[in-house]
Amino acid sequence: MRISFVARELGSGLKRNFTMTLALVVSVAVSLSLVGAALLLGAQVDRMKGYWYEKVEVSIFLCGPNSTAFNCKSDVTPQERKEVYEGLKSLGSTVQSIFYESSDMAYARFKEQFKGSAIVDNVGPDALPQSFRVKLDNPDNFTLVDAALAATPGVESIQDQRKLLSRFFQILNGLQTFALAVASAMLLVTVLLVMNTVRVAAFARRRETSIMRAVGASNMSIRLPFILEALTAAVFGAGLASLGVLSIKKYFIDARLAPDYTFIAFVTWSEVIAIIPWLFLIGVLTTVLSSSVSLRRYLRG
Amino acid sequence: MIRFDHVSKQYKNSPRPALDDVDLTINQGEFVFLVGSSGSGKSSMLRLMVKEEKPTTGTVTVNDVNVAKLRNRKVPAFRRKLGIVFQDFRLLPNKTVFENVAFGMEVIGKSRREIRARVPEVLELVGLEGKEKRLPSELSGGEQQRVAVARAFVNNPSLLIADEPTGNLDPSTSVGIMKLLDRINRTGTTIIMATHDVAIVDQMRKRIIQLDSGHIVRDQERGIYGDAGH
Repeated sequence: MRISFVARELGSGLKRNFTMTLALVVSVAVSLSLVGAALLLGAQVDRMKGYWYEKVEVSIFLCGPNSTAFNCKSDVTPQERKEVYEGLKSLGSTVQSIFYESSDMAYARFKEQFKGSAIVDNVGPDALPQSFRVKLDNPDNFTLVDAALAATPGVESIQDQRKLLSRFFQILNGLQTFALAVASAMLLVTVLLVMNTVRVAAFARRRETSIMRAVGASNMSIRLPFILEALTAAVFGAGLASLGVLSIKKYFIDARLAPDYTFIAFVTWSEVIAIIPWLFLIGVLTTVLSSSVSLRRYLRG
Repeated sequence: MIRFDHVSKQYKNSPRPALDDVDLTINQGEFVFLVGSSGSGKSSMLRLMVKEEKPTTGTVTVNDVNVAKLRNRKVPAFRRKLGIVFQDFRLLPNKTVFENVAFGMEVIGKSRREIRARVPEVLELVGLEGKEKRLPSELSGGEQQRVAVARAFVNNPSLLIADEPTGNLDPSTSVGIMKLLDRINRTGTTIIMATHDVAIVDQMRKRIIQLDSGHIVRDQERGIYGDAGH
């Protein structure tokens, strides 16, 4: 079949089914926008994880005068402190850097952090324990540090900062799962809409297809116009969804969030653009597959 | 060229077979009328020939092809050697006469050059020269059926199947269509025509196959409709 003939048939088919085609475009656009938003959220979570995990440390708090922990008999002795330090050193390349913070330093930092708050006046340097701040090559290796030092005398507690973040990431992951679930439901709606649109189109053109069959048109050439119509709608829908995703980046993330939350790393343009091919792929695959299935059912070969 | 060998066709949910042990041979170049009342099995015979249906038992052979064994993807190529004319014309209402006839060539991938050469030739054969740009709605019933015949004939089929082609036409217009079919028959194309039209059958004096309740009750050279052979 010649391309010009196919193109002409496609044009007239789209015109005839205009409202249904429009419905299809909107439905594809909405569902793919949700898919795009979910992917965007996923990319954002990955980026933030990378950003934060690079900064998280393990804090090893040493016993102070008021400590009640099992390991603490009294204030940590210089000997005990040295042993903790040696213990950390013995972990080799797992531990990338060790920073010692004395009670006075901790107090100075505390005063800086809570400047202007009444709490500063009630807390003295004694209330803040001295600690080692340790940076690991891989945050997952926290368990190694914990196992090595938890029972060492003079260690009051070992804190994994990542734990504090994990709850936050759980919320973000939950949001992403929710967006994906809504997107899947919308995709299902799209699939049903495609199938129904194709069915209506096949019924409206049963005269045409019966003639095509009678003169010996191949199944492929009978079905192609219908599939191409659905495909055209999918491409338009995916295009709109892509614009939507790009707008989220430009008008929401860059214009609204980024200026206010300078300490958060947001998804980059290249990560946003990498989502677009997926939208087209998902849009094209779902429509082509569902229209083919529908044709198989409603267009007797 | 067409053989029915002990063919029976039983539709689901039907108490008796539509065709019952039908044996029949039609040679290349024949002109055959298929007559009988509604439900006698005429349409079933035509549908079996174009593989719209499969026989329940027996074999149908068309152009040396066992139709039941024809693979689905070979059906299009098989149908290209057949021309089919319907009672309701089945023209595309938003295409001109030329485009309707060209459609039969477009969908099987003929080039624009071939189409430009062949379509006017066929339109002249059916007597529609000068009406290429009309829409079907601007034509009379007889003219519409001529377009349909032109479309069926445009790919030079060896067999033309017509299912009540004059069923929607008045008698004088029907005569014109019959003359056209006769002319096509003279080019060597086999024609099988199912009809109720007594006047036409009597006038043409061609081979008549009469069906009744799925049986062939008469097969007569140069017959007339009335000889039911009771």
